[in-house]
Amino acid sequence: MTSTPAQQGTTSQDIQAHALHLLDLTKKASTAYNRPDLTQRLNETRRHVADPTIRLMVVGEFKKGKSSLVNALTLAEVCPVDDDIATSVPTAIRHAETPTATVIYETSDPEEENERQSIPFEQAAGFVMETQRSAGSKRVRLVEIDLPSPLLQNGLTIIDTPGVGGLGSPNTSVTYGALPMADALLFVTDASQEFTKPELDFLHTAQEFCPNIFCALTKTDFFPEWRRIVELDKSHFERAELAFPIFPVSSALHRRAVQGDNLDLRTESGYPPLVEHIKTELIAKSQFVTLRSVVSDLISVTQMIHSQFKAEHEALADPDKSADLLSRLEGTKEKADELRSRLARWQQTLSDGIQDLTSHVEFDLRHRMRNLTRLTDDALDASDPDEVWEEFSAWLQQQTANQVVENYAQLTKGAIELARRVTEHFHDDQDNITDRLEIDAPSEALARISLGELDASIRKFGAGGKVMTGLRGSYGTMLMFGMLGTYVGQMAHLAIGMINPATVLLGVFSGKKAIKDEKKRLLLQRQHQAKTTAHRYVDDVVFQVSSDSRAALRQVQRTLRNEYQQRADELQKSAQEAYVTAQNARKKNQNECQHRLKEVEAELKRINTLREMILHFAKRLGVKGA
Amino acid sequence: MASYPPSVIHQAKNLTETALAATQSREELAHAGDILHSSLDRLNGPLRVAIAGKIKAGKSTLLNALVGEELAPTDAGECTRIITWYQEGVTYKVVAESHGKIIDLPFTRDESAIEVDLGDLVAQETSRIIISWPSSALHTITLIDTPGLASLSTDLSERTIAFLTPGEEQAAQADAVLYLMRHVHSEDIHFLEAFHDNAVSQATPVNAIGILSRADEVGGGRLDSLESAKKIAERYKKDQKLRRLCQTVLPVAGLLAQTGCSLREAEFRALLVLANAPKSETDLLLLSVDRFAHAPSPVDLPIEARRHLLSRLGLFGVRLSIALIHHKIVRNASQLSTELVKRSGLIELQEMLAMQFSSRNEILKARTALLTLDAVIEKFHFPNTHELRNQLERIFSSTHEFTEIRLLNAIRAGNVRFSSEEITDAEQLLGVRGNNIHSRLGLEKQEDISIIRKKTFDELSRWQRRAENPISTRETVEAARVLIRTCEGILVTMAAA
Repeated sequence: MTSTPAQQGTTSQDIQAHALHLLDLTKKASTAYNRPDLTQRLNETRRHVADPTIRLMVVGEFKKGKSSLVNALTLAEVCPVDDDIATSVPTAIRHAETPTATVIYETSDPEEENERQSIPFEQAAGFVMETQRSAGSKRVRLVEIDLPSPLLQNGLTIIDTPGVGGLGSPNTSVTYGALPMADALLFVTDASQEFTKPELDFLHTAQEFCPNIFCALTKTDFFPEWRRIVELDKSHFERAELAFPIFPVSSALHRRAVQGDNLDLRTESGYPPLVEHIKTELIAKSQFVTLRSVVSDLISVTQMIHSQFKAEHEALADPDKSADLLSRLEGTKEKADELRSRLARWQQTLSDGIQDLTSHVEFDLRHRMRNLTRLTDDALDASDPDEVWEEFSAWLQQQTANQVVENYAQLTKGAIELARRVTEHFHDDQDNITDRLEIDAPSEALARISLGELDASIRKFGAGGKVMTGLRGSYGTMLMFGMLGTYVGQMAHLAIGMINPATVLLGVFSGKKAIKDEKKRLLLQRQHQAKTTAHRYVDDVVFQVSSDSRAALRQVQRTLRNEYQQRADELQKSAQEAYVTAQNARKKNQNECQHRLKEVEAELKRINTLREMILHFAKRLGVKGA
Repeated sequence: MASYPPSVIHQAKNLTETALAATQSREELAHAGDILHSSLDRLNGPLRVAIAGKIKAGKSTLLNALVGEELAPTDAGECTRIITWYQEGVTYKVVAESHGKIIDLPFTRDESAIEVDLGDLVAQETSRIIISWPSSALHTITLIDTPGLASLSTDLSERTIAFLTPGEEQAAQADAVLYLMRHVHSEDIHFLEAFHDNAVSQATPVNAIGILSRADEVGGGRLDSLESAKKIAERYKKDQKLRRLCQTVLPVAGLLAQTGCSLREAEFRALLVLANAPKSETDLLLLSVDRFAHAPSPVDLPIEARRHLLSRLGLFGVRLSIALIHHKIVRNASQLSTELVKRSGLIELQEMLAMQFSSRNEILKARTALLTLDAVIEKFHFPNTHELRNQLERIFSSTHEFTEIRLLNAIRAGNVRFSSEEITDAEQLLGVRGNNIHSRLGLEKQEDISIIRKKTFDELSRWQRRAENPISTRETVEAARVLIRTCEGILVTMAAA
């Protein structure tokens, strides 16, 4: 696609303004023509346009330069940087006119809202490094920072995360868990060495959760071989069949450039291409997706209004054919009724799909946990639980967390796929109706979002977007940045098997064998206890996660059903209106007919003008089929 | 202060030689003879120190710094693919061991690293490469360079792991491991734990020293990077998890050490030019590696020379050297050399190696040899089995050092219910931080005799109390008794001196 004004980002402000203007006009029409259902849809759409949020998560291994990078992008020294440990808590940075900071605390109760506390802006870094604690020492889940920053003005939120892998850093599954929140992922590695296996593994998995990934290779000011490392990294990507762009940058040079206002240095820092990429691939594309969705909504709304008047026009202009017209419209009404009914194909797809998905996800979880339990049993059989309990329970928590995260990935993928199929089937059925309402051809291409581009839209908008929001909500507590504390529960402390003094005496008389046997017996007992505890823990996790999964999928079902129910209702109302107006037209006498015909023609003209404006806007956006 | 008499190693040597003699001209004992022969070699040979760590941790650079010469190749990709031994030799020689055969390999060495021509050999088929090199540094230590861990070819990682943590039957091939980390990563912990667990079940406990490597990179090129690295190493040293797994953590800037040892006059002159040039000009050059290596500049130094400096010192090293010359802390090449090596942390590492292993070395080697002998006698039928066995028993039971090692193993395996503070103190008393008296007591070298004696008595009473405590388990009591014996030994040695 050639570069459109939308992608240049320079006139994005007025494109947005234009879109809002068209939205308002169309709303006027839908209100005037007595279609409150369409007005409601437009209101929802307007919310998306007026207040976009794009979440960019910055992720990477320990000490790779994430916070320096975020500081360079936001042109503010907000994220603390240190040679040793710095970022311990995730930080979300957004644009605002005046700087403010908020701390959000962990809550042990998943139902409860998280406590928010405003803090003085200067203290924010302290909270991020966890050097500052509030009274009561509650755990901090997230620090939100709002400040003026040009790159963030279009709704971009950058989330700086604690590095994974270092001593004392949170485990990777916590970061994985937060990925569904992100619209895009900026993976940070540095120029000191080529990609390691853990880094590539992470990217493989991350891809499942977040399709929009790009990489920054930092510290190019310091490592002489950085170009070679970039080449090596690119070939690693090729071999692993990953196709993420790599941007070499130096935050140190960037800082110097900003201080000295030096354009050469800024180019050398490598930041301009990265910023450009964020602006076009991320922000502009996101805006584009939003706006195209808006356009499609506008088109379909105007279509429906148009169809009413068209039908009336037909009835008025050609009273002889009215019987045919009425029967045709009757047929259309029936089709619209079918679309609304439970027996409609999209409904079937939805209910069957949800059932399948629910059992698939549940089976997947049980299967994973069964394997884990087997591993656990083997490990405990081969050791003395007393000696290894601490490491073992840490390992078990980690493994469980990993499996839960992967299971969640299955659920998310499945839900998106289901939304796609339901949309497809709905659109197919819908076409029958719009055909019959004789709506002009070109707009059809816009009304139907091409399936190839469905993913981006689905994830963001319409049914899919709501699905994602719903999923985020129900898994929110567990998989957001906090530790998986809610599932840890209390790992029971094992009673230490002391040797029974009586046995010692016995041993003196009957030889050492009795002590040996007693020791063995106690060991077996400990192992048994340990295995039971481990099983109980895993069962608890399965129980909790299953119920969360089921809740999430119910949410998905509800969302999709409501969304398409609403659209089916709209279509039905349109068909109904068309029928009624055609009927009424029959009753009119010659004079009334002529009079009304003139009115209708005027309305049609107004609607067509509006449609022209919308199509023109669509062309401006560079939308296909316009 | 006197250290423990190393006569145990003589005893081990004598006994092994006796057994070896018995295998001469006896067909069925030929294999036993081979084993005993290599055991004797090892007894007579220097300490074997393996260098391990994740890829690009700086292993080969550190090896070169320890040897004092650039031998191992250190370029930016993954280089060391085969486990490579560097030992002292009369002449320069490189051989490969593949499927049990020794094969001579041609090699070249120009200005820098050795380049070995593998010829038809494939890395997977080669168990190791042995480089013999005349070097005084290799006289007391044999260095073993290993492929990086968590490398993208898991094959390489597995080989290193197999080398360092062999199965229960074999003794580990290395006496000690320098484990290099740039910052402690969870992968490092996993490896160290696996290594530690295996080591516990080993005949010989293998000691690990943690090295915070590439210390000059810690600050991203700031001049206080090395101070920062020291602080970080201190923090790691105190970390509970790491303490169990390695004795201590030292920061080392390998590149500075390597180049410091081999600094050339021409290089110093180049640095001098930079130090004397106007600050505004050098500042621009020092902003980034690209500028330093490529940008045109009024400073009167050819770009080639600049590039060379960068590859030898790194950006930090260049900045540091210029600052040292500029502030007149060094005035010539030899002073700069000394200063770089001093700041690199190499000297502390060498001292640690000497202290940790060289004196304890004797006991560890003797123990390995005797355990090997024990296994061999068990497996093969010697004509003088009874006599050999008796001698073995005698040495084992009478040598307190072995009891100490057994106790150390038991502590590491978690069989002794000491508090974590008691464990630290017990390990120290048993010689883990140094075999000599002041290290065992945790005192400075110069301490007064009366202070040392008092500390010994304090420790003695403390462990006596522990032994007499009614709730102590049997293992704890036995452990306390060993420690009491150690204290008594110290008092006896001091009295004799």
